[in-house]
Amino acid sequence: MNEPSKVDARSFFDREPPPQYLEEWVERLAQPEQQVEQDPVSLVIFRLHEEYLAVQTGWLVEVTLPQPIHAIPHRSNDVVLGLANIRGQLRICVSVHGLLGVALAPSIQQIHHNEAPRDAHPEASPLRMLILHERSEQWVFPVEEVLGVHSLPKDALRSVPSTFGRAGAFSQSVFSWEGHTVGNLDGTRLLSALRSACK
Amino acid sequence: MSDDLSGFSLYELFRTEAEGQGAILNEGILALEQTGNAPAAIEPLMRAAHSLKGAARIVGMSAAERLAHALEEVFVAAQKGTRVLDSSHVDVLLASVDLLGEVSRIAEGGVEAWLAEHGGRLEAQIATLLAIESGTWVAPEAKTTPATPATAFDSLPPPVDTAQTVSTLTPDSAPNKSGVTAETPSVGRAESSDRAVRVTAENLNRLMGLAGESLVQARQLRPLIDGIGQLREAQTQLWDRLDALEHDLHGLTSEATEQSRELLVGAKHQVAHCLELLDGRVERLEDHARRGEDLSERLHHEVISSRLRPFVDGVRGFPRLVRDTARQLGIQVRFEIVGEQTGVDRDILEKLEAPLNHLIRNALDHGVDLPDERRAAGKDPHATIRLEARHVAGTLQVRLSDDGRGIDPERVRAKVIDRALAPAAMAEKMTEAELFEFLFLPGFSTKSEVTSLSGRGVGLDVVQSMVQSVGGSVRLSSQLGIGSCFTLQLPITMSVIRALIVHIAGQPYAFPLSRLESIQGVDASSVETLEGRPFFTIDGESVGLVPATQVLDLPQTATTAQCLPVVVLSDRGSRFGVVVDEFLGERDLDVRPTDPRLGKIPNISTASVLEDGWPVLIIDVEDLVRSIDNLLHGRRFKLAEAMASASAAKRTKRILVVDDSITVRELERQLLESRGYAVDVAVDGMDGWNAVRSVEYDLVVSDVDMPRMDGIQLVSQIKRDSRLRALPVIIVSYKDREEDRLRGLDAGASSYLTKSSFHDQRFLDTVSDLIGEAIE
Repeated sequence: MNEPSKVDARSFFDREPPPQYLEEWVERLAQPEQQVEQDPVSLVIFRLHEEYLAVQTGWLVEVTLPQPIHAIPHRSNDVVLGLANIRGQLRICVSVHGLLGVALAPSIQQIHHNEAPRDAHPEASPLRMLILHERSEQWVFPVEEVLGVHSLPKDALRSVPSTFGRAGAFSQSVFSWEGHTVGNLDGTRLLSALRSACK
Repeated sequence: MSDDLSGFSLYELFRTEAEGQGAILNEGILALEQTGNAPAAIEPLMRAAHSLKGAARIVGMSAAERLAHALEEVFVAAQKGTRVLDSSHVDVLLASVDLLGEVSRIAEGGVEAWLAEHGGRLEAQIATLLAIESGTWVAPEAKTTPATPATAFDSLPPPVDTAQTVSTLTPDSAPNKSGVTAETPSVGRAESSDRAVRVTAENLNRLMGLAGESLVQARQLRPLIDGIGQLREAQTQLWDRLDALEHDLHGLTSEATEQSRELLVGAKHQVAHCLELLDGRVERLEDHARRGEDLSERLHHEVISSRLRPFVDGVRGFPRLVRDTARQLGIQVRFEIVGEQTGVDRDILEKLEAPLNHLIRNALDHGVDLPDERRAAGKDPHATIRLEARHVAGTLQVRLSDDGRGIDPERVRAKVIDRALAPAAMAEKMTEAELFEFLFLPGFSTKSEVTSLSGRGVGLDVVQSMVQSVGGSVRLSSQLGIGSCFTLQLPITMSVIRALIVHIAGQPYAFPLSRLESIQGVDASSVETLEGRPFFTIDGESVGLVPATQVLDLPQTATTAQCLPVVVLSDRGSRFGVVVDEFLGERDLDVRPTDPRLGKIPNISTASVLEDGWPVLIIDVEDLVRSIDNLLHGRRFKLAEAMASASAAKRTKRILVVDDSITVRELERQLLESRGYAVDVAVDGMDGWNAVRSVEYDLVVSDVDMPRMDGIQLVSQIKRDSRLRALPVIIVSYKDREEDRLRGLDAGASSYLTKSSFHDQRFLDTVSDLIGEAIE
């Protein structure tokens, strides 16, 4: 049997790389690292009067047209608006405006005070109800406008400036979107504040 | 066929129960080795064996019944302390539970075959148990006791037994004779096809919501069609105008007009075509809407009725239970079921079966007198037991009454004093209703002799806790010599109620019709005032008037109407008129639970959805009447004022006493007032809950078992409320078991006392430990 000699082995390891091999690798490594959009954040952006806010899409159940809200005796307050019929289920309807201290636009005031009749043309107005959930618990609240679901690279989210108003207390980051500064709400904090407002 | 199925389901029920109770027994018996024979450890065992016995009797499994009875006897002896159960007994007990499990798994109709093969084993086991009970049993020391394999500790039988069970099953299914593996799936399949039709309440709720919403949506096509009708109208007018224009042009002749005329004819054609198209579409749309509505209505109806089952479905086993038992006891009983078709929520019907079973056995054993006694008392020798179900006041009421010997309140009183459950002075003053409450305590029984039927007090407390677990209550009334009647008041969580819809503060509310006395249009000029409070007169009686907005704490609605819409309510002799915005008419509402996050909303029971999709809140009339009473008589308002002025000088600590027994309430009040505390009282948990939110208290003293809201719920509510969380609560109850105590403390009570603590200083000491002396 022909045992490979030490020399054979050395020449194998010391052999010249194929032409251009080194250059190819040098070039490849010299490239700036590709900006792979690692888990971009998906956010629902909505508007409360003049404030632009967002929440991660994972919290969203659905967006519906405005529904009448039935006040709850002894319970309704700035934050708890009442019960709304969402696809046959009576859900607690809250005011994130009230929680964040955002003024109500005149149009949404009607929803808060139930002046809008159900069969007007709700499609024409941008008013919507946003439904968020945590496990089986759902929260419904009216917003002035829903601006859609958008995907953002994670590093577009910046830390919350101290000047960001009351919504700042519930935001985990802010980002710029079409010239607006949008507060990215922390769902956990938001819902737990809503929960304690119910008691 | 349907008879077979119903029999099968009873059998299935028994099997499920045997599985559950078997697990409890296994666990409890094993625990006996560690904890010894503490009464608290034995009681659940007694109860499990007792329930199994009853269940076995219903399906006519006398083998299982006797075995369970023998087991129960052993536990009873252990509880009395006449027998001490040690490890050697535990082996026997576990083997018995396994055997019981095996018996319960025998296929229906296979009992004979099983007994032929294993009857000896069964008899031996029963004999062993009875020997333990009577103290004549000797542990087989030298002999190896039948080894209890580890698998026996769960509900599975030892492997050997499985093989035996299977072998008895095999003849029924000849094609599958290939052994154990072929047998198991056939049993499993039968079970799973049964499970496939079970729908969870949650699912059904969602279905109901969707069905309701689809009805709402279908009905909304109607206004749309009307809108298109208007369009058609406008088109017709356009046609008319063109027609008129053509007419005007008729007399004129010129080249220009000729051209216009042509254009006009073209336009008229166009309009005619539009009208034609429109008519065709509207017709089709109307047709579509009608069918859609019809379909949605049927769907809605079907979904709602799928929740409700006729009462009789849940009580089919009882006539046989009564007949068999009556024969065994030598009594003659006529059993009547009234309201067989009363719709009962399927969940509730399921939960009702066990408590009703207890109550019927109870009536047979305790209630019904012997034919000779009955003749002597001048009664029909045939006793009557009547089971009635009906909807009352938005709740399901189930009554079980007998015309037997009734309950002697004096015997109960004697027993209460004898067992030191209450101080003699207090017991002497108790009303019948208060005394009968004691019958629901664990271990409280007035029947001295023990039978295989009932009579160990493992019954009524179980009934009560089962009924309470679905949010209901049990009341007992009885007249000595005439009979007894148990009334179960159960919620109809998912049922349909007939209600009057009104507007209050511009939004819809519903009053359950059954709770209304009347509705009236009261002329504004006939309203008088007395001491600044408005009232009007019905049949010569002055009835106080309250705006609904005021009681419900809603914004006032401005009204200029000459005729006030008034809903007249009455409760326990007081009558009130509630002024609403307007009456909207009667509707059937499918009741939906309100969101648990809201807790109990004062004055509101549940909610529903109207035909137009509007949410509607259903008024809790009982609560509302109480709120009005407080409002009109200013009980708490005056108190609050008094408190404010008192606090300026020297603050007296204020305590709220919550108890549905007036005797206990007064006793507690006197005790506390003697120490200088200021005391308010509330008659049940709901009343208490309303009170703690309107007046600031230093301490709440509460009973556990109360109607509407029990003490545990009250404590939990208080502890959940951020403003009230710090308010200490003492629970004072007759229930002195460790598990009851833990339940109270778990809910957040600062202290759990039994009512015997009134005897000594313990009650007052606990109060001063918690909040200090009355005045600091």
